[in-house]
Formats: sequence, C-alpha cells, structure tokens
Amino acid sequence: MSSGIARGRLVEERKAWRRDHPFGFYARPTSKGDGSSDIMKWEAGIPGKEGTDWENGVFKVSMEFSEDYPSKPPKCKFVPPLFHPNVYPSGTICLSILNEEEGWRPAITLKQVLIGIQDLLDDPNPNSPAQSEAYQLFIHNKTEYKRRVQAEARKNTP
Amino acid sequence: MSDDDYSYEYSEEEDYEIGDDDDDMDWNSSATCTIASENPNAAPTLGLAGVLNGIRISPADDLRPEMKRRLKEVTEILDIPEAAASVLLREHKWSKEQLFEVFYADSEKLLKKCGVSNRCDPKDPMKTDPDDDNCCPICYDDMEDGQKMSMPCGHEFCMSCWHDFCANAIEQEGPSCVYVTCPEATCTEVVTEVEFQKAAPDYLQKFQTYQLRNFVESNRLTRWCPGKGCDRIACAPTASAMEQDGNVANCDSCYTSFCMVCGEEPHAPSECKDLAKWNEKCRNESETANWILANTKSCPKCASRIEKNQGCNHITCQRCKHEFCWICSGDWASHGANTGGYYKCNRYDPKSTETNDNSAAAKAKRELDRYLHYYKRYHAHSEAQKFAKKQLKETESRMVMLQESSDNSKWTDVEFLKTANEQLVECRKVLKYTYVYAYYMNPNDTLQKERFEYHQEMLEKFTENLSEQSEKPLDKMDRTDVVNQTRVVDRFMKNILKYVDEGMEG
Repeated sequence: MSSGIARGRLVEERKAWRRDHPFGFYARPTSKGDGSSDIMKWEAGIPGKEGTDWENGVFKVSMEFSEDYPSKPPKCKFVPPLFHPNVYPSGTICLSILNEEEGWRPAITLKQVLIGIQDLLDDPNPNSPAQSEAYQLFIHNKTEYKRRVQAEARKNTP
Repeated sequence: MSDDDYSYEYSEEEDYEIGDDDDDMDWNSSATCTIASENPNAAPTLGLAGVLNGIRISPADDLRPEMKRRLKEVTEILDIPEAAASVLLREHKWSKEQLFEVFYADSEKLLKKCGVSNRCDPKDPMKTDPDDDNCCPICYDDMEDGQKMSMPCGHEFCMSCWHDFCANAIEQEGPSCVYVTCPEATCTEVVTEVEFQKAAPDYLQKFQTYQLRNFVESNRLTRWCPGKGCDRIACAPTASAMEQDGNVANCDSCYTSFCMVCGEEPHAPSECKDLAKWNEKCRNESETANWILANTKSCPKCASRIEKNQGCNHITCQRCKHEFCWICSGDWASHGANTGGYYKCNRYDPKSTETNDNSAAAKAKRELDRYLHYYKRYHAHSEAQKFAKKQLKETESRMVMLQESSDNSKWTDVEFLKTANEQLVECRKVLKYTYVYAYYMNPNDTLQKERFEYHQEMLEKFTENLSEQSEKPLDKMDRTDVVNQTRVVDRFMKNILKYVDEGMEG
C-alpha cells in the first residue's frame, strides 16, 4: 500500500479494538519514553484457551509494524520467548498468516492475528518446527511436553 | 555451403503444420516468424536431427497471438470468462488437453482449487458482511460508491488500496504476481488481468509481460534462448519434435545454438539425460579433475611449462622442439598414420589399470581413472572448441589480410578459411560429446564400443589434421589442402552422428 496508510490503519485498528475485542485479550500501542504512545509498536496479551494445558496463562506478545503495513505483516514475538514448537528461540512466531510469502493478506485484522496465535498455542504445526526442545518433546514425549506446557501456563498466570 | 542446402526445409514445412496434437503451435497466425537457418551466419553443419525439425525463433511478443488463440479456445469450449481461462491454463502448463481432462473429471473441484469458481459461476455472488459500515477493510477509510471494487468473490476494497495491492504484487512478487489472491484473509480468488486493468492500468503491461513469460516457461513447446541477454524464444512445431533428442535451435539474434529439449549446447551424439548426468558428475568431481587437469603441462622432455594456446593437440616445445601429443604426452611420432602407428588417444583401455585387487578402494580408483580418461578428453576438446571459436572470429581479419596479400583476389577466394574454422568448431563440439556418449555406453558390448571408438578416432584424426593446417601462417597455407580436409572431416562427422542415430548396426 502507499506509504502513510500504516499509521491511519493502526489508529483505526485501535479504535475498533477498543469498541470490541475478544475476552481475555489485550492489545495497545506501547508508550514512548516521553509518555506519548508508539502506534507502530504494540504489546498484546493472549490467553490460553479454556480446557487446554495453556489455560489460565496470558502470554505477552510484542507486535512491530513497518511503514509497509498492511502490505507486509507485523513481526510478532513472544516476550519472553515461549516453550512452543513453532516459536523461535528469539520468541518470533512461525505462523502462516504472519508470513508475507504464505498466508498474509492486507485485510487480515489485528484481532484475526491474535486469535490466530491463540489457536496455534494448543494446535502446533509439526511441519515447521522453530525450536528443538519443544519440538522434540512434542514428537517423542507427550507426557513431558504436557508437563512443560502446564508449567509455562502457571508461570504466565497474571 | 550454398543456399540450396537450405531449400528443402521449406518444402518439408507443410508436414509440420499437420500434426494432430491440439497443443501444437499455430504458426500461420504469426507472420513475422522467421526460420532460424535462413541466417547465413548459422553454423554450416547442423546436427542431423536439427536440419528438419522446423524450430523457429521469434521475439517474445510474437507469442502473444498464440497465447490469445489458446485462451480464446478454452474460453469458448468451457464457456468461462477469459480471465478464468488464463488461470486454468497456467495451472496446466498451458496444455488444453491436460486442462480439459481434469475439467471434465470434476469441474467444480478444479475451479475451486484454482481460485476461479466465483468467476465462472456468477449466480452465486458472495455478499459482503452486512456489519461493514462501508469502510475499506485495508485502510479503514470510508468507501464512496464507484470508488470500490470487488472480484467475483465479493470482497470489496477501495480503488486506492486495490491499486497499491496490485503494484505491490508486481514489485514484490515479480513473476509470481500471476498467482496473487484476494486481499481478504484465506480467500483463494485469483487476481487477474481484469482487476489490473480496472485498478492498476499503470501496471497492466508488466502483468501481461509476466503472464507471457509464464506462458513461455511452462509451455512444453517453447524455450527462451539461453544466449546472454537474449530475449528470443525458440518454438517447436509439435510435441513429438520436442521429444526427439538432438533438436537444435539456432537463434537468429545472438546466434546461439541450443538443444530444444534441455537448453544446453547441441550435444549429439550424447542424449539429454546422459549429458545431464555427465554435467552433474563433472560438477561433483570438478575439484579432483581440476587438480589433475592443470591448464598448463610440462614438456615431457625438458620440463618447461607449456600453455596450450591453439586448438591442435600436436604440441611442439618452443625450447627443445620436442613434439608430443597434448592428450597423452606421448611422442607425436607415434601418432601419425605414416609412421604405422595409430592415433590411440581416444581409447580407454581398462587393462592399463586393471588389477586383481577388488577392494573398494581399488574399485573407486579404477572408476575415477575411467572417469578421468573421458573427462580429460572431453575437457581438451571443450578447450579446443573455445580456441576454434576465437579463431573463427580472428579469421575475418585474417581473410582481409589474405585478400590483400595477392593481387586480383576476391573475398570468395578466402572464404574457405572461414568454412574450415566453422567446421572445426562443429567437430570439436561433436568430439566433446562423443566422450560423454562413450562414458555411458554399455561396457559389455565390446563390439559396439570398438566400432564407435573407430569412428571417433577417425574424426579425431581428421580434426587434428585440419586444425593443424588451418593454424599455419598464411603464406604456408595450402588452400586446396584445407578445402579437402574440411570436406573429409565434415563427412566423418556426419558419419559418426548417423552411425549412432541408426543404432550402430553393422
């Protein structure tokens, strides 16, 4: 998209989010040192779904938008990095809708992105492993994997 | 080489238009096509199979009518919009037959899979979300009536966002912009020429060029000229013409010759698959081979370093005047027929390395020796071919000199030298590939192997003779001798190709 629509779109995303957002989530622009907010850099919280091992945890995600947004997807990272087969050791999330070459479309909303990440939590994609530890346990030792996920959820309970 | 040699191509032409394969190229619709070998500068001796193949060279734009013709046909037969037809054809390598087969098996599934189901079935237009307060889902600005657009899937966006989306597709995706789908999440509707025309007419031409490129690249009957920076396209008349090995195309713009099937330099007598295996092998073994094949050699007598700067394998050391063969480093005296010896350098004699040692290491060593035997000779002819090409370029200036050196001489009086040089390039090329061929020959068929090596040896011998003759200083050159040698070597080259072509019987 032409330069300049990134900020306008994010302002509208902010409005839309405040009007209505899914239960248990939060998302807001970060604040700069001087007290003003940085519309290009957001922080968000994603709750684990009820009835899964991720339940009760709220996982913090940082979202960085470039001037090319929404032509290009935001860069989303778990902060701190999360124990999950599709999360890189840096915390970066490997998800098709966040990949420009794969499923990213300009019409995907912030809400859709966050719900997409929530879905990924309990439904990892074994075809694109991003960290060795969680991937190996997920494939070879489901019991230990489950235990580690529950620990991760406890650690992130607000 | 007279003009008569080419004339039969035209008389044969009718036959090529008859092919009943529906995906054949319809050349009558394109008047500007030219036949490659009309080019007087084309190599004088085309591979045997290359003479009658009817391959044409055209500028890329000449293929547009052919692409349109195919689109129109599919549009009419399947009763779908042209934009959908182009998506469907693209997914089936632009083969109507392939497309029809899948279409008639399960058209609904196919249209869905290719992202054109809404486009082909407008009775079921998707309604946009009634909650939307008419704001563009990309920029969140209000959309005025007439300032928005949707594809048949029904997802509306403002014109400005559509334009930027199309521009982004061209600039970021390049050739794969033809696969771009709707900006809406998970929607598989494919963006086509129609949308570019409406929303981004400034990018329409680029989109069409990428579409044409896709047509050329996925079409079985077309191939880009591999010449550096050349944008011509070679087109075969029928699928069967492409299936035969050794279909040679000659570009009329950059004069590159290439195999229509694999895009490599024409490689008779070896087959495409053998050449591919060979090239792969040479890439893998290149370090070993390079180590063994330094570009210089020591004189076997006085050990001074010698760099080969001409194509002939008959080397005379500048320092001690020792004459030897570049290939085997043996005394040249043992190579001439007049000494009773034979030119043995083309032969791989397993006995020379055979031992009773059957360990894996010994086997590997024998296999490496065998490969190096062929690679060395392949490489030597390859280098000699480069020299011959360089010589061909130099010959024109030499021709001028020769013409000026005697009175009343004409341009045609010295043309023999150019013909000889062209013949040498061709012979080196064929000789190079005879070693690829020989490497992959059945080692147990000794009779065939011997026969082949005999032909190879003859061709090699006469090529070396001609090479030597034509590299002589101008004043020592015997014109009649060069002309005769050229003729003889041409005959031997054709013989070996014909011999292989006929399955080496008798």
